[in-house]
Amino acid sequence: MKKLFIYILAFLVILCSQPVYAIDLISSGTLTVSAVVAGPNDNGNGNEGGNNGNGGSGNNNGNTSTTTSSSGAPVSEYVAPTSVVFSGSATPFSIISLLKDGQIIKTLSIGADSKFTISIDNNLTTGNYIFSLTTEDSLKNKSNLFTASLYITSGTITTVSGIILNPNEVNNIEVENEKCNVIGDLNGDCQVNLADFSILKYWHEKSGFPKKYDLNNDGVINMADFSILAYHWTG
Amino acid sequence: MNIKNKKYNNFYFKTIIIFVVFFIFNICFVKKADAAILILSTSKVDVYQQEQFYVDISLMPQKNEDINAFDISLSHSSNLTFIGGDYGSSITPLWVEKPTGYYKSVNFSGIIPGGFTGIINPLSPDPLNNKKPGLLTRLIFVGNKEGNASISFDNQEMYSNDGLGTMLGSSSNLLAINVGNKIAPSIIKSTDTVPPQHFSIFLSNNSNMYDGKYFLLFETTDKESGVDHYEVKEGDLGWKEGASPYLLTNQPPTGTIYIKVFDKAGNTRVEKFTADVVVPEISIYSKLIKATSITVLILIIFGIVRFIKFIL
Repeated sequence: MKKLFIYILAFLVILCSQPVYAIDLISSGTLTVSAVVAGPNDNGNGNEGGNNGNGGSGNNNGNTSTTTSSSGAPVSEYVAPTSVVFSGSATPFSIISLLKDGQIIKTLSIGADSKFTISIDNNLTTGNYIFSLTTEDSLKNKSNLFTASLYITSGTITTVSGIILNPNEVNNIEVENEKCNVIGDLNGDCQVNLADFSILKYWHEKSGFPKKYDLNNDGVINMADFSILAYHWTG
Repeated sequence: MNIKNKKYNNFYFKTIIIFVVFFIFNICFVKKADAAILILSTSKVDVYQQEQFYVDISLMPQKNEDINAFDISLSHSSNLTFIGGDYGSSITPLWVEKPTGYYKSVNFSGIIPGGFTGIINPLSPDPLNNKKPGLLTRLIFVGNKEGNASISFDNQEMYSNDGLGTMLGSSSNLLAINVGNKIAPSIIKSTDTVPPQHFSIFLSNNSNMYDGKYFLLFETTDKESGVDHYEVKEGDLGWKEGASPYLLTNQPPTGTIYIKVFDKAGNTRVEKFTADVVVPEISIYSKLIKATSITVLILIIFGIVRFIKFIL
């Protein structure tokens, strides 16, 4: 009995003394990331799964440009498409938004099967991009951002699959008297985006600001408030 | 029997105390997971006088760390001069303060909505388990006097993407540069020929900003040399340099507004916005009421003054 007691206590001590990691609010399922170099027969994948919102069909077979060789004869060059495709599942009949570097570039309605495929297939040059996805269901519940910092190489098709977006997380909107109650929504439009960032930036390290702008109630507008705004970002 | 029970109770009590002490010791003194790493690297360790070189500041969060804001201050030796920032390849989409030089220091701060856990290169094998550091910014310096020089962090605030504004610890290195006695001016040239990214323009107004006047919101990135500045043209007015939030001259704004963004290599992109703010017209009836009220008020004041004079 004594030994059992000691073993249980030892187990509890070891368990409780492990470092605490950040809680991942977005479950990723079997998240996979891959890329292929686009060839002459590849499409930039723009066929969205679900009903098209503002995305459109997005087909991109790559551009063909014509330059002139030294002999004066035209030479066709194939310019491979560059695209990034995100796929996964979310709440049926919700709206999914795709953000590039913090700004919404495309939205899509998700069908009854909960599956989505959303892509960006133009205006991408080689470089680092912050891509995010968020959903909003019919009750105005929003998911937190799923974010992937990707290095995109021009002429490649990148696929990120296995994304699972769940609303009813921390960023729920409480609809009271038709007004939203979203942390970080400084201008009352039920979104947390560039407009709210600009307001916070305007009051950064100044006094006399409206109290609601001080998101952590420490009496100053500083980077901690910006961090809270960034966490609740909706685009 | 009582003595036996007492012995057992004593044993359990002592054991609990020992484990509690051990637990507290573990919490306080056992090494926790490493904090985020800020990496200083340079294109050249030995430079000539008046030769430009760059210093990259990169961020590598540790396992399970997610960072969405930073506020950094670097200090440098007096024989180095800060020329400017180059943030084309930066992971930072929104700057609170772009790299700005002060006396022997450079400050910059920004946010990464959604957080940053490391760069994923989809072309590398097992990309999710081989994340790379992300570039926060590139700083251009020039040596102005012979001697040893150094660049180090004065302030390095990293914020966790937890919705609470929690500040994380971070570790960093120091950079040692040697400025030689030879003078050999050279400038870092950009090979960027690609214009900045497309962007949207938003019109807004807020009672807590600019006395409620209308302003424009806009922001974009340039993946090669970085955005240098913006210029705005309202209707027939000339181009004027500005930044978001941009207070409009025409209030309320009407007509077409153009915004031109320049990257550091001189490439440009122009986006346009049509403002159609309708100011509600005051009806004649309202004007009449207003005029009548003012007239009556004047007459009352006149009557009161005459009455006072009469009494006196």
